[in-house]
Amino acid sequence: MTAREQSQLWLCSIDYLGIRLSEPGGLARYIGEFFVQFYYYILWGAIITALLVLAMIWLWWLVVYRIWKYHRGTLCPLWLYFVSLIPLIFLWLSLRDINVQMTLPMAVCLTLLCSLLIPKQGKGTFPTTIVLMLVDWWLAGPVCILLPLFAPWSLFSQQRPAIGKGLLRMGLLAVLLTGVILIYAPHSNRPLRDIFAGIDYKVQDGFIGVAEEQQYDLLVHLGLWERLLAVAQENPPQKRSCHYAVLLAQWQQWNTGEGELRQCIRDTWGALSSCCSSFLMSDLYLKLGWVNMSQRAAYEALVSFPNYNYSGRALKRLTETSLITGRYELVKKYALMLEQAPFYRSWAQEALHMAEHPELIEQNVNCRYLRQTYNMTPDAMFY
Amino acid sequence: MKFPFKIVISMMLLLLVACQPQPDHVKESGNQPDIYPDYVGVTVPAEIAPLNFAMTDEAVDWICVTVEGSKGGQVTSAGEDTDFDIDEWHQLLSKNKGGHLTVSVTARKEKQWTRYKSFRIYINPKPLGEWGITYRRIAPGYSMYGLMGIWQRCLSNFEEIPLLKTSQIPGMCVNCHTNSSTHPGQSVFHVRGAHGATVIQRQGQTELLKAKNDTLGGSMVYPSWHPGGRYIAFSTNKTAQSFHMGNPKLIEVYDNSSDVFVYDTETQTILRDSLIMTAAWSENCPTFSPDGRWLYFTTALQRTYPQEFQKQRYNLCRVAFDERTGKLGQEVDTLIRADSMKKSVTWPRLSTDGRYVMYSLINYGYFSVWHPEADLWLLDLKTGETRPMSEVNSTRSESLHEWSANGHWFLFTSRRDDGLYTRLYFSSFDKNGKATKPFMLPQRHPKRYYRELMDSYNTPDFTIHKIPANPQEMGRAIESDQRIETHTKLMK
Repeated sequence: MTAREQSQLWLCSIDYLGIRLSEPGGLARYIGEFFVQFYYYILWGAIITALLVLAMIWLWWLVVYRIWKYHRGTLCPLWLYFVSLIPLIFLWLSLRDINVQMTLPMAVCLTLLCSLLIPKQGKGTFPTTIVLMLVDWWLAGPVCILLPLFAPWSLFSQQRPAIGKGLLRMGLLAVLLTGVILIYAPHSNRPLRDIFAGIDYKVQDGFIGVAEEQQYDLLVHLGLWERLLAVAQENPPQKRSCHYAVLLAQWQQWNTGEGELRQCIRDTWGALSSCCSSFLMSDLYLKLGWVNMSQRAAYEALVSFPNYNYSGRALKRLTETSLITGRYELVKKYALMLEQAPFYRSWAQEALHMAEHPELIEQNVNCRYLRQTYNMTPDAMFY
Repeated sequence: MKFPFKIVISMMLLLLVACQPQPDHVKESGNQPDIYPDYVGVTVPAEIAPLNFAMTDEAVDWICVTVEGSKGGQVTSAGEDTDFDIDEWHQLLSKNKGGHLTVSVTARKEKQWTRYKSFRIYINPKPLGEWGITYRRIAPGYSMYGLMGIWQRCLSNFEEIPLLKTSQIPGMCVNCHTNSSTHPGQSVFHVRGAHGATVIQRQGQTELLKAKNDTLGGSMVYPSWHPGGRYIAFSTNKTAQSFHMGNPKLIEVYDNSSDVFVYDTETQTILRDSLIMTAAWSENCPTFSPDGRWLYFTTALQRTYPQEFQKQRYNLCRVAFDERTGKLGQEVDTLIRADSMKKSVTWPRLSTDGRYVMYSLINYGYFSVWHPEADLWLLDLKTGETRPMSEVNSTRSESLHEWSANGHWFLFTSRRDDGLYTRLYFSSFDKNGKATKPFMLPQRHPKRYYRELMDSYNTPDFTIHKIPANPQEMGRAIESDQRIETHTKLMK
């Protein structure tokens, strides 16, 4: 949950909605990001995920019930029981892979919703399907190709079930969608493969961070040093950033000298290899009072998301480090953006207040300590 | 049916206008308004897009602005910031070429209206002569590549079009888009990453060169087109970066070695010359003179990094160039011995008439963007005098300047806004070698735009016309990995 939440920043602004809606699949992405922001708090995240599961099951039930009613008497109830498990399995598979974005489940939900709008009979069924599929493509992305399958009467007739005609219609829809994508592609700044596969359905592997980096990042962030050392004892870390996290934990537990730790972690080569590792390193450096390095790692985190999202956590860290180093114009820039995100608003307002009244920084114990450390840090180069 | 419709629309517009706040009980202020961007007293070309602005004071919630021309005409705007009509703005500016505009601002803060002392914007009779600009937009990351791109922007309105964004070529970096004398028909840029290339556009053709030449041992980095269009001077740099732990400067970008060479686009040959490819010295930042007879570059005694990072200082030099043979002269002239002043010269650019060299002066190194002390300086080749351009400099970094094709204007990047994100500024240049107060690249809603923009402007350049863009095709070409192998030839 934390890894998902920190890899985006949902903004409550018309401009942000406009940016999202300017690409196919934008509404699904926007809604997905809206829900993921609740992962800021674990409890809220769990509630939202549960509600999401319920909503998907409910939508799925509506669709399946329509199909069952249409084919009254011909569908076996046992078959329906197994079919009802599909959304659960789908959501579970989606959310367990950090690279699959919430956009995909939302796109499926939107497509299910659109399928409910297709009339069950009349001459307008197929033309309505075409229009809805194109609208759904813009709102949800290429998942829209499933739309006619969720309303099978738009392809097949119950009275005269002609498989050939149904397949022909399906083929026609596929050709139409392909044509629309090919017409759209030259006006887009995405490679054709991304538009076909769905923008932000799944990001490239490795950029957000592997499970090990996610785990160590969370442990460092929460300061759970004993648990971190226990994890490392069980499975020695493979990634350099995780190795540094172990050194920090040992130092926290008085098992390593500060000099040794400081000498070792000056070399960032290979340690800033993903979003999670950049976050981890940023936290690690700040705990040591190395503000410039923490800031550097936060900048790396900010630009490292493969879907080019901003990150609330990275912006928060940049605001903090800018406060400490006295760059108040930057504090204003970052905090004003964070202020548009509901879960960061109060924190951002506090930061803005501090930037307007720098004397308050000195009154904050943590900020004062970091500022003093920053001012006393002798300049040296790190890589 | 049309008549009632028009009446309805007119009434709605009237209602809208009537709903707008009107100044009353106005307090007079003896001061000029603090506006963002600072357009007070700037000189602009008549072709420039509307100079919209807002008050810097966040508590101001409404402004009413009237702009009157010294030769007639007027435009008005009201709102949280100004949003002048583009056509009306251009009519006003073209009518007032050589004259000035008087801007009157009345602002509302906490329900109190204040009328500020009016200020002037001067309209230079000299045309800009360019359609717009090209630049790279990049967020301040250091190792990882985020979303960046090469863009073109029309200077008469707010149209911004991507030429290539890295969303088209994920995981790669694009940089240093350089036109030949602002003519985009001849341009060059680099792609770094898994599908690296040097992309040269010339005579309607696009060539993708292999990113690295084995003989050269590196890639082509900072380019400058020869005015004849056949040759491009490049530097080849082994660049690295280190980060400061306890210093207001965040980063030092440096070269462990660098050289300069000339590339022949017709024969796809790198012309190597030992005069500008020395072992002990690092040559960098090449630029051809407008007549094509000289190649200017910077050079420094190579130091050991990072221990001696404050000792590497570049001088400004030049060497003769023969366009017919592609050969360099026999001697290198040193124009500025910056190291003797404990300073370093970077990014020299010659004015169109060849008389002036504009350059950035910093304390050490060459990567001026990250040096707050970086200022623009001007060398008069006729008199040999050099001076800081205090008309345009600030306390923060000024760098990456370029001249317009007619030589009346130049642009540069500056971090004066917030100390980190570079923004674009323009200034006019007269025959006496004086520049005017620079103005920031106009935007429709500049305060909001620049605050929300998380990118820096990088390597900007003018472009004389709009560039036909096909990012999809360019993206496919880059990902195809079909590259032209370059050859090398040792000249002496």
